[in-house]
Amino acid sequence: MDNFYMDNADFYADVISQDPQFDSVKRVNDPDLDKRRQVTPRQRANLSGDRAAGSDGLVNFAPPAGASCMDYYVRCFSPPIT
Amino acid sequence: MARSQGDAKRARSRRWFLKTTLVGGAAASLTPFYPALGAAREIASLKPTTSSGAISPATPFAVPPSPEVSSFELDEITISELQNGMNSGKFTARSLAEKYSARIDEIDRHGPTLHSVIELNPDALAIADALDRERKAKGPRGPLHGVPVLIKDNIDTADRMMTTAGSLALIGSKPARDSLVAQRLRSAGAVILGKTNLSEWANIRSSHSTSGWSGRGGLTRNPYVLDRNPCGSSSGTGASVSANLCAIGIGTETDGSIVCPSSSNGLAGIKPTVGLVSRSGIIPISHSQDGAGPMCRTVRDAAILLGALTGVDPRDPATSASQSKASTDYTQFCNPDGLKGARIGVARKYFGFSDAVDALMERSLDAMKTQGATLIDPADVETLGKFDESELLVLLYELKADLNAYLANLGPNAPVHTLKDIIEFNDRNRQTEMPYFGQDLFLKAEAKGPLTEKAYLEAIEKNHQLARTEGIDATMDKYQLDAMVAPTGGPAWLTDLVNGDHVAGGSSNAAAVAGYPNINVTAGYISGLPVGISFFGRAWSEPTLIRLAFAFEQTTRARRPPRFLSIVSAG
Repeated sequence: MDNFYMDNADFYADVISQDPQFDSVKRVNDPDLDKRRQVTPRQRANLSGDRAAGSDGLVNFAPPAGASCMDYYVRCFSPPIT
Repeated sequence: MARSQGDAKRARSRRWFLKTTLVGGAAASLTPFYPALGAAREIASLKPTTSSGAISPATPFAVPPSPEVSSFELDEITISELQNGMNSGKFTARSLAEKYSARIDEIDRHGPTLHSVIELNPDALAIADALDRERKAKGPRGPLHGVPVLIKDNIDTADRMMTTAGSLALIGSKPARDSLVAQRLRSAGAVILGKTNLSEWANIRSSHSTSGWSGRGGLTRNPYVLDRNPCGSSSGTGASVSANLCAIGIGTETDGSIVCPSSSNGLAGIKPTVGLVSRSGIIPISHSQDGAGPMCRTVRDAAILLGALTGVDPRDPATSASQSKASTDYTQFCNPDGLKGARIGVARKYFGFSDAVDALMERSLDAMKTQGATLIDPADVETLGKFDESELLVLLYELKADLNAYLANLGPNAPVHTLKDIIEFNDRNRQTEMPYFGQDLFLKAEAKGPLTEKAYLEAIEKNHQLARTEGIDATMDKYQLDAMVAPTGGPAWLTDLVNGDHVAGGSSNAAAVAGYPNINVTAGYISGLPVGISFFGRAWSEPTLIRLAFAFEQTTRARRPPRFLSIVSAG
């Protein structure tokens, strides 16, 4: 698999799992889409916006193995906007 | 909801920053470290727009004053109005080229210093004179006769201008032959006024890039709020067209680079089906996804421009499929009642990254319903998120193959001949080419093999299967749709050369990977920043998408011209 952002995958997955603000997102591997939709818009915004404005950002966010960026309501940006 | 430790840290950081510095001072003190940003100092020194000065009692920090920008005779003028003006004698092609050139000098190189235009065409006035003589003798060639256009600096022109993709590595590169896009524009009588800045190499150099920045052109500003990003990679086209520095513009897109800057700059942008507009003579990323298209202030202008660009080109094999699909006049689809009876799918998976954007989209959906559209909600592309990796893999493989082919075609006198040459040039010129971000994507592309490799072939097959057959086509079939809609993106993010782009949300990837059309129209404004809605659908569905986008535009009439504010809270 060629994946330029995967170097930091474990780091970001760890950040998300430890952050109490993203409790709902811990259900990322839940195959039930309805449950995943319980992530509030604000939480999604935090994931994709505020987080991205933080120190490292989620611009190159990578989901854990088996999950997709869409599970997190985040576009992975692989590649950047071209 | 309890604030996280991260929030608290960020809040402390903000308080520290506000306590210890002022924005203007910060800009001035940082400028030596950010040479290509230089204009930050210019902003700090500009006169305030209010007599009370820059600091408002309600504002916890100094607001940099917004530059004074006077109104312009050609603000928001359309192609039809320009033609009426030239037919009546009010304007000539020359006078238009002169007026736009003066405005570029006034606000692109001075004042707000948008840095959206990378080079002016030294022959523009002579071309305009010839077109004026022709109009007098024979009448206009068509709707673009004498109309000034700016094109992105990755589109070849065989004239005295360079084509560099914003890179210093291609300084001096003057292709021997026009791109087909440039050729078509000239044939239609348009005046190529100059070339626009872009995210260097159309943003395929680094995964940590800042959109709108190039080594040659510096940093493009968003004309709505100057410290915000214009998105990219067609940043300069987006900013310049929105700021009324030309009548119309051309951008290119591989994934998002027409629709995103169109959204961030309040424009109508059309990313056509791959093959509708020839890519020959355009500095490439990927022959599977690249395309050139119009970026204009109105859908009708974009439709006029698209019609001038279509046609089969032996130099681009993908165009052969457009033979019976293309039109030379898309204005016939500009029907104000175009939403009536339309079945529109709402791609909900692209929502949810911003409460404000979601609210704006709900108002947009209501407007469509009011105009007689039937919304199927949700109507998602179920394969979203499953082709991100294969997309990148295809782009890296094709970048190496396609860029090397482009460079080889420049001939022996070209400043660089291969991707490897460019990488080495960047390494030798780190101070000017890589002051903010590197070239990790270039390095990954260079490591790829030929397009016969199994990994590439499997990835391209996967892309088409998931984005086309099981993606957009499957969704359109399942719900019997005319088109799908989604927010194009969020309001423009703060430009941050240290950390790179802070993109929140985007809906370009399904249409981009499929090679299908996508049209952005301004939906409204959030904190004074434009936000667009995307209409996308099946291959060759431009007539349908233009019909829907035009009707939506006529219903909402959302676009407002930029005000060149220094920050969102100013003015």
